[in-house]
Amino acid sequence: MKRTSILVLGTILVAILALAACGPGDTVEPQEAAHNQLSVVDALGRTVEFDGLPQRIVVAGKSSLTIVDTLFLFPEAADRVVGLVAGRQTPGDFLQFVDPAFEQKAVLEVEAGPEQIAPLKPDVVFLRSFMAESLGTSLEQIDIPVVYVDLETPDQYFRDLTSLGTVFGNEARAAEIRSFYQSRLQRLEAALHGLDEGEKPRMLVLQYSEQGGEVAFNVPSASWLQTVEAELAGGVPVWVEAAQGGGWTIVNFEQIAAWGPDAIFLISYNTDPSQVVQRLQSDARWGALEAVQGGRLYAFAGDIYSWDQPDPRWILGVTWMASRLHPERLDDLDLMDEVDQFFGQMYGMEQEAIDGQILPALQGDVR
Amino acid sequence: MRTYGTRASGQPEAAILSASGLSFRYDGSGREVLRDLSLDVPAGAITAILGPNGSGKTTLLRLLLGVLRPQQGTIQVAGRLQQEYSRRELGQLVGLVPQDEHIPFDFSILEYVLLGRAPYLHPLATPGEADTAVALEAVRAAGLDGMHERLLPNLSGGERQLAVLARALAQQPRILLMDEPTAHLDLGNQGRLLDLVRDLATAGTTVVLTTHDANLASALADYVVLMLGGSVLEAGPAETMICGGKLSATFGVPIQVCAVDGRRVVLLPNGQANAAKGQAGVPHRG
Amino acid sequence: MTAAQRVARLPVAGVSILRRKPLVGLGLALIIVLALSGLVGRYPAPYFLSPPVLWQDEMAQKLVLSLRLPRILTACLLGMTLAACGTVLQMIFRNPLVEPGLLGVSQGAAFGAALSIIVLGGSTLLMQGMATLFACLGLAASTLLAHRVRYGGWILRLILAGIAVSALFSAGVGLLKYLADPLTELPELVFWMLGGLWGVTWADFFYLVLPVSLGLVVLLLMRWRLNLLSLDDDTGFSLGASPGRERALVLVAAVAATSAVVAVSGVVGWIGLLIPHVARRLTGADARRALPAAILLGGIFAVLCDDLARTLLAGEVPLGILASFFGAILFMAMMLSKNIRVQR
Repeated sequence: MKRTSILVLGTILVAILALAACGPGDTVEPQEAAHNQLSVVDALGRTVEFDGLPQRIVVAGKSSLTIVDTLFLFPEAADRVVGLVAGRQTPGDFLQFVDPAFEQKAVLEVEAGPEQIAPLKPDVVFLRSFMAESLGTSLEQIDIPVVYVDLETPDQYFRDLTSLGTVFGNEARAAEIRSFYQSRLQRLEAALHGLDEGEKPRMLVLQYSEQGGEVAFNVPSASWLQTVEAELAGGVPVWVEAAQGGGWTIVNFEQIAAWGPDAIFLISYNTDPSQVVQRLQSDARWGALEAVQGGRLYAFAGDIYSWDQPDPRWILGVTWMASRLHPERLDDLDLMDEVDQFFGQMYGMEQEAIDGQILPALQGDVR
Repeated sequence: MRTYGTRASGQPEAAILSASGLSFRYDGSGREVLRDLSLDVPAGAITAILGPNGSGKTTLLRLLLGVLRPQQGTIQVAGRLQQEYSRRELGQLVGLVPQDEHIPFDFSILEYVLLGRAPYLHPLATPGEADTAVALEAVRAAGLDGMHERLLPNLSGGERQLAVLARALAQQPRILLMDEPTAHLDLGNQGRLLDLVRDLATAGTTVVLTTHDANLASALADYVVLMLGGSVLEAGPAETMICGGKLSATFGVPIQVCAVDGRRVVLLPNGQANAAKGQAGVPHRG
Repeated sequence: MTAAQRVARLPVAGVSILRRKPLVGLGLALIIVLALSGLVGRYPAPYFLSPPVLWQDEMAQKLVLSLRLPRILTACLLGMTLAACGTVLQMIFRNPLVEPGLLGVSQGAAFGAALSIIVLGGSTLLMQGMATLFACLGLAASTLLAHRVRYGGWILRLILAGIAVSALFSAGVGLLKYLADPLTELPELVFWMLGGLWGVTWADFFYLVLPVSLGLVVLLLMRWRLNLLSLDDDTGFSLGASPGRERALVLVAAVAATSAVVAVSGVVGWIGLLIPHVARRLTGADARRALPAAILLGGIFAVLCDDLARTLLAGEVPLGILASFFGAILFMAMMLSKNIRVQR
């Protein structure tokens, strides 16, 4: 009996080892040099090589809305993006106005793995950098090229735009987009020039979330775009020490009162932020806050999507925040004009379409 | 070398197991469990260590086994110092039948008895056919013939004790240590056990058993060691030791011994035990 | 007999092989499960990939060879190791309710990996090294603590110390979770604490093969001795064993293999608790047969759970959740059908 069992086990172990020996190695096989070869450096510093322009682009993984919206800044995206993820915020809600054929694109779940992505036969898959371990490595194991993007801070944005320009073969467009953003940032910088630290209002960005009846107020991570936007808009973000960990950190009312900010920007992804602001203004505790009494509790502006998140709209978010924090320095700013310019130049939307689709969707304390 | 006397053959007894000047206390407790204890166990005979509860019998057995090391004193096994033996050598010499063996898994009798072959096997080895044969023989010798496939939890208390004995027999030891071997046995099983132990002794195995049952000692033992308070009170042949005076001194209560059919029978103390200790009896209802 | 009749009799034949020669039956079952698992997944459609498609589709071949195969084999090793470790722990501690997650081993490994992800950047090799280091630290801490405790017998002391050390490391992981960036590291940690094999590559498998094989071989060589170690110390001593040293050797082998798999797959519970019981039901309590049976059964169970984990839904269901679900149900069924005796 014991001999048989040892034999069976030995056979199984040997079989396992033999199978393992047949398995392909872990290295990416070197590409043959082709005359159309493209080389892209992605957010993780990797160089990814392509034989010719990728024609079938897929966006996958978590937090991919920003990637999709950024891709569609390029006109080629409509044809080449064949698959994307529809998370809590559906890209189709907005992009149907940019690309009429948008609804026909393949939609993946957020948790889709390599086996769901492979049937789309992508030439490249775009992922946020943090998806490397969980999805990127597996995709590369089956020889699907992956390009990582960050798109979290302005610097990362401009760097990733360059990569996207290369992938689309349209570096000119990438430069256009970059100059659009940079001109707005420079204008902002000029308007806020000479502002010393004491003059910068202490400000707080809060996200209101209500899940399963539980109401919570969260502050964004210190490394996130929302914090960068606050600084660019000429404010002092008071929550930075509390948010070292990363992600949305829950804060209680005591902490908010202790910070005593001059201005509060309230984000709400699921419910209308203006409604939330109204509710808070009539609340006794919130009513006692300096910012609320001074009328400086703002519902974060947005159209179909809120303008705070890492989405091309962030430039609108920064501009809007600055106009609230320093109205006297930006009194020549016409926000509606900014909206028209953004959607016109970035997404190529006709004025009619903007008036018809975007303006009605405006939310928060935009005007 | 002390001897206890001579056997019928007239030859002086040799001590196969001897302890000299043993003192022992458990870690952390102040009390000395054994105090300057010396004893000799003659080869090929049955020796009973008899004493009241708490006199240190089990501790003595564990010292003789080698599990515990005395703070003072030495133990000799078959002529050599106990420390000089390797664990395996000792295992081949000395076997143990503990009072309560906890076996948390449902081994069959054969599987369990086979464990007795461990001293003859390298740690990485598994028992072979020869070992299985010895184990089966031990099972048969213990009177559990034909039951070797039965699972331990399904045995009665007596059968379990016999299985433990079989395990010790599979060890083929020269010395067998037994701790209160009849503690959970009814009269029938006690009888079987007694027969087995006598057969063992006749075959040349030395048996040392601890007990507080004087009748058992009387019925079974060739030699008796009387223990009290951690030392040996007296030791000698059973006929001499099992008598009213010595037993009373050991157990602290008046004990009578009478002879029935040439066998000595110890009578349970009757009514004077508490008086002897100077305690009042249970209050009567007035 | 027609072909159909022959096929119909296969399950009966299978069960009878299982009854008469359980190890052979389990070995065959394992091989069949491994082979069929390669055909299960979500490409090109959910659940089953038929062999003709596999033959022709290059992408399917890549998927099977590069993604499914290493994952299936890793799941197999995972199940084998956890089941072996569970059997060993149950016998050494004479307690049928003991698990690898008891001595601070699994939680220590989790803490080590989490620490390396947060603090040191989380390269795979570094993570696995830290996991092994902290698993060993957990075991050492439990043992040292148990020696100092002055309450109860050795077994109770070790269990108490192990619970304390496990809780400490679990809390440590929780603290790291709170400090971690949820977009960058937390998903990994969460997945990690619930167990999952989503990113397994051939590199991970090759890392595992050596420590697991060594550990399993040592345990299999000592399998008869395990019976001995499950007896009282005095009895074991009288039979010529050095219970302390032999137990230490067996424990080290089990822990080293377990921490290697926990580093790759996260903390997967219930396999180490349930499979030894099922194995003992099949082959009896003797570890000469129960240990190999547990190893084979553990491999089968883990592979089946992992097949479900990656096939049931579009996204990954954490392996630990499925193992707990089925493990707990089976365990309850076993408890209801026959009392598990713990002799004291």
